Amino acid sequence: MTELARADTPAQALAWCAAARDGDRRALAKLTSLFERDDPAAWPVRAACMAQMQAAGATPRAVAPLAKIVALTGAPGVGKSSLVGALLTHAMSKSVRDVAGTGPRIGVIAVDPASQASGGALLADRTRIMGIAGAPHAMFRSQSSQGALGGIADATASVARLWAHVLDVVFIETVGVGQSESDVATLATATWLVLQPGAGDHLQFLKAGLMERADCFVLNKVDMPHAAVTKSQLAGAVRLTATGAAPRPVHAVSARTNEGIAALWGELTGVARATSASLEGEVLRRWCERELGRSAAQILADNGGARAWAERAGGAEAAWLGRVKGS
Amino acid sequence: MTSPATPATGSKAAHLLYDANGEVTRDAPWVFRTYGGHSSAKATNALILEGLARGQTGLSIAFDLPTQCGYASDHPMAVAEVGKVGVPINSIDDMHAMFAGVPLERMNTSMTINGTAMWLLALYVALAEERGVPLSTLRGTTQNDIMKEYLARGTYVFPPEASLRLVAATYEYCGQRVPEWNPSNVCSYHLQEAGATPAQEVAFSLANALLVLDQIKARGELSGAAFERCIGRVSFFVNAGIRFVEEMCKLRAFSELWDELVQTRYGVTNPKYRLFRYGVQVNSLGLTSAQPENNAWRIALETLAVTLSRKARCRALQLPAWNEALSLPRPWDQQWVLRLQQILALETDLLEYPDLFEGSVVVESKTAALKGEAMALLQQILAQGGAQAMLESGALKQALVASMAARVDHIARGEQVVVGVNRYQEGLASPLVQARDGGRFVADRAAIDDALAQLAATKKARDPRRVTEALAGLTAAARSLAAPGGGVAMMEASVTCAHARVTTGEWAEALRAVFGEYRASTGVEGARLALRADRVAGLRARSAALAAARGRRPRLVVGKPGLDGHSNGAEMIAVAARECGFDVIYAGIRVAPTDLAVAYVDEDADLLGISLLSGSHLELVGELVAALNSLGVRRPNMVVGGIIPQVDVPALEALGVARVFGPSDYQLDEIMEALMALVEQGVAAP
Repeated sequence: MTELARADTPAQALAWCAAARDGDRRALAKLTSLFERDDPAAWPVRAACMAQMQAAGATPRAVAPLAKIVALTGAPGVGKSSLVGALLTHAMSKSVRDVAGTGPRIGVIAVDPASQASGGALLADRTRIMGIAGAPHAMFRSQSSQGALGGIADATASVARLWAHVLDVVFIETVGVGQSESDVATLATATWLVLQPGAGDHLQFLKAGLMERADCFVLNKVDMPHAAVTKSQLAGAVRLTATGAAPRPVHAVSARTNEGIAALWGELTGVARATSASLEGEVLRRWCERELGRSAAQILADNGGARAWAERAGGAEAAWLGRVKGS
Repeated sequence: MTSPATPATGSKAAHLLYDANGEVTRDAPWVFRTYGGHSSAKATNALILEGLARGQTGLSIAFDLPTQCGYASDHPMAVAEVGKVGVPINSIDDMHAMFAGVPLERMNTSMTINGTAMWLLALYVALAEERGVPLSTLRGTTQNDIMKEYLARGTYVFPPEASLRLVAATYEYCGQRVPEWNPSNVCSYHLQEAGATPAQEVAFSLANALLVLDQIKARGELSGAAFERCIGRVSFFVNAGIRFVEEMCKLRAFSELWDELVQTRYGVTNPKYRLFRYGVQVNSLGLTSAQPENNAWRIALETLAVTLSRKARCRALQLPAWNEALSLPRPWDQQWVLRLQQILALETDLLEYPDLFEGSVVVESKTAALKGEAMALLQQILAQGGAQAMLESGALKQALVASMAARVDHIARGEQVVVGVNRYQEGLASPLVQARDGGRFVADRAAIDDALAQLAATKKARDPRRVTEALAGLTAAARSLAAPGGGVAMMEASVTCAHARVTTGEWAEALRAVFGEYRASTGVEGARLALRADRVAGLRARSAALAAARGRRPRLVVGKPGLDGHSNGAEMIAVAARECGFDVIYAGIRVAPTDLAVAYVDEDADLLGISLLSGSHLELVGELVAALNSLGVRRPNMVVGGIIPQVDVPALEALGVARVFGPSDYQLDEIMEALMALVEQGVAAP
């Protein structure tokens, strides 16, 4: 008997779902662990939870169904965690709260690399913002990337899917640089690339493939010297790579002094909300790749894609329940 | 001090010391200090007077964590820590009480205070003014060294930029008004305590000194002759470890490098201003809780490093007590170790000779090697932008964490011998720890209540308008700190606050509003700790088994509640747990118990590990359990590590702590196995 069977019965998990949507932090934390579990015994319970939440409809306070999911990527040390902290703090301010006096519920999934040798991980993104990470409107979960390239684990996609039905905004903080298919840029509805002054001249910006994936650029630590130079170099590079009508936005901020944070928060209004289809599709695609291995792409292409294949197999969770033998 | 040639009096013996008149003389002893303070200003005053009566010749004041971190004793973050590791100083009234009967004009007072150093200096100055003592007679030191706070000690308040300006400001003020005061001590002591090698100790602290001097030079308030005098006022606070021959050579290297540096970098010509002036506390990291009586011998041997060589002798010495690893020392313990200084200085012939090692082939070779190593490291630091850049990037911290990890590793493998710990562990029990109070000092609850009462009385009696005006003046001065004359203005504003009975918390809060507060990097990123391979393999297998059985790795939250910032132990646990396959959420230092509780819940951790060294474990664990209960966690899985007296373990267990790790539990493998077992038990029976 696995631990799951003893502690996480379907009835309990469903109770957690209702409680989490009502704002119970412990219920959401337990539910989140359920969705992180790399354990086949968890699938039926998760299926039941998703079914209940999809039937319940909109998140308690949101006008539209699901959360906005923003990927925050950037090299270590640029200040992603501090930036998240500044945004969480800003979300408590009067200007952000709605008529009822409550503000958006915000989740943060912070992914750090696991040790190749031991499989363990040192997760220190929460460290700098311990206070605000524990605020009533926030939910912060640290995750190990479990050795996945591209920076996020299956657990990240799974939890993002859960939180999209409970919270209003989800930030996914990673070092992932958008080099592979199974990365955070496909899971999120917007990708914000965080940089800091002196990080390289404009040629460096152009070279990195991440310029194309980002929807918005955030230049942090703008209170540092040389920030102005980096800002103009970045703006220049963004203009050069503009494909559509307007170049993508560049925000100069300082998580320390709060400069530009309000404007960055405003960027969220333009971010699309996630859809069940996209979230399920992403989780499913990752599962397929793992189960089907190298032939996954071909198999799915032959069968009209992961979504179509899953629907034929009776829905996403059902697909996971069934074992795929060949195509 | 070299003996001048005086041909008129005939030839001189090379082994004698001569004064300016050619008469045979003897060096005056260094200043004997004892580091102390506790419970309340009044209690500390008694300690000071007792120490002076016993033959101490200088004071070394320890402040409690709230005072060091800028909180008044009645602040929520402060309540559990008042009076534990030092004296609580809330206002000038406490200064009057602490220095009652102490002649300021004849005393040499060292204050171990950093983030709030400017405030304590302002209090001392204001005290002198209220007593009619001329500022020109004040002698002493404010430690005022922020770099090691960020790296190893944790009692910083403001961000590096602002903190450096405050340090420069104290130099500017003292240069003008309090010329005999040492505005700061560049500290290498804490670096060694955090695991630094001798070369790292020298290089990091020299980089630190250059950082401070460059800041002062850039501000331009002190220039020409005044700047040279300022350089002459720079003093150091160093460490001396058990490898006392190497340590002695390290100090010779320090002297020579400092002399060379201030000549080449700042063009100082006057030899008086190029002297390497330093005070010492000998190594505490190496003091053991097993066979603690051995520590008396260790302390004596370490003292040799800083006294044997006249050329590199300390100006002031304070010694830890033999039972340092067990708890805060009692007055008797401090008296006993003071006697060592008195015997060495006054009974032996050490002070009758010129330098004993001049011309020694071995000593000069070793000194040169250390100089080379340190200089190379210093050049590296300067090439990467200097101490501040490497501090903010976390590189310096990572270097220290790596050295500490290496040290822990060597001891665990027996490559570094520690008698009583990894060699000769068996022996007769020590009679010294069987004393009625268990050989430990316990802070006096009544005295602490007294301190709180005094704070309330001060706040009631003072003129509120004067307080508001003084704080407004302080805020304005803080905003113009970078302007010409801004440093002196800021000190003057602080002195005005002191006279108005502003509290420590109010002073710090006003400045937090202007400068912001700071969270330093942890240094654990990228650290590796090699544990014993077979034990690690077993632990990794157990982590993997948990991951297979329930789809999640064992999950540990590690953090330090309260104000104590000594994070090395917690960092080592975090790194070791990662090596064994845990997912570790490292919560850092100075975490409010409520935030730790939320982290435990949000992260759905299997185990919560907290580290406490300040003696406030009962209060803080109580707060933590209350916070967990209010979040719906009835039976948390918790362990506590640090300086926890055996006698308090039952109380902690009654609060729900599963296991307490004291100083004698140092084997990381065993700690990891204990943690894994607790996780497995929690999973099996939630």
